[in-house]
Amino acid sequence: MIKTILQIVTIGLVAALLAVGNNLVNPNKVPWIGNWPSLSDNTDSVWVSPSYDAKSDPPTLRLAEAFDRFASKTYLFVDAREPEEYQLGHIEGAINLPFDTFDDHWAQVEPLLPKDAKIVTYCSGSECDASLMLARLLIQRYGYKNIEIFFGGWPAWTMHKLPIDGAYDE
Amino acid sequence: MNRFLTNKYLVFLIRLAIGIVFVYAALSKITHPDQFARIIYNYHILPGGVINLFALFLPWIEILCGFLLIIGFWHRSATAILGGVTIVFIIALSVALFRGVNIECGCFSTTSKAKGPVIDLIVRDTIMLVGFALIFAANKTFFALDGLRRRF
Repeated sequence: MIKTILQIVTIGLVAALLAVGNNLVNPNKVPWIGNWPSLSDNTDSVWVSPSYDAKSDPPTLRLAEAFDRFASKTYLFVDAREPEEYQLGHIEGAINLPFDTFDDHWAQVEPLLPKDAKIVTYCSGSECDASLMLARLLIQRYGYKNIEIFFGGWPAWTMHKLPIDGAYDE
Repeated sequence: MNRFLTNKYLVFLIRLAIGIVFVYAALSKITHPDQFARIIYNYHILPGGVINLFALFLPWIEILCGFLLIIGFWHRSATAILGGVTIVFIIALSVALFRGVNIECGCFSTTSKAKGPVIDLIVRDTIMLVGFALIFAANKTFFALDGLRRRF
């Protein structure tokens, strides 16, 4: 019995050493302590634009919910910021559809957004209305139905070092 | 029936099969701890701070114990550990099933989008537990380094 316990402890220690070694050299390494958004974390619920109308506007997502959508790989993330910001960095796989210059980009983006697609819009967080305006536009003018708004947007996403294309803000 | 179940050749085959399964299951998790951590996060069971540590540690336990099972060295300890790990899997899957959380299994691959019914996975893990019990209970070993050490 004692022998078995000693063996189990030894196996655990060897595994821990190998795990540490692997994470030091692995190109896909992770931080030791992950900064995963907590489902019960309400800190990002304040990031709702003042012009948001809970009665008529599409539903909003907290960070953990947005991440759930992202991880399910069945949602299209639409970045409503300007192309310069988008090119520096955006949520992994997100499509750029800038609200301020919508008409210049719509023709290119429309084929990427099927009418029945499940869409999450976002922009630069609390200071920014583009995700909300874009969602309204897509619903009212183009008849999209499944749109949700992630007000936390780029700042909330990068604060937790969630997957992106490009670079995190300095 | 009892003698059949404790037959050393049958137990050897079960040991080998389960060992290979765990070594295979660990490979893509070891190369992609980032993706595996994301899958664990999606279960919404572990607190955020320990998810990465768990994602790093677990595959090495799997591959080490799987290897020990295959060569039959310290195989009862390895069986005990993997049995415990499998019970944890069953609990995690059951919680996900109960809460209706949309999970990727993260069983064999970190990239597969295939999502089988969770209940199938629970059944599979339960069958594996029976295999562990047989290995653990068997007092004769075949083709095991543990047996060699006893002999010499």
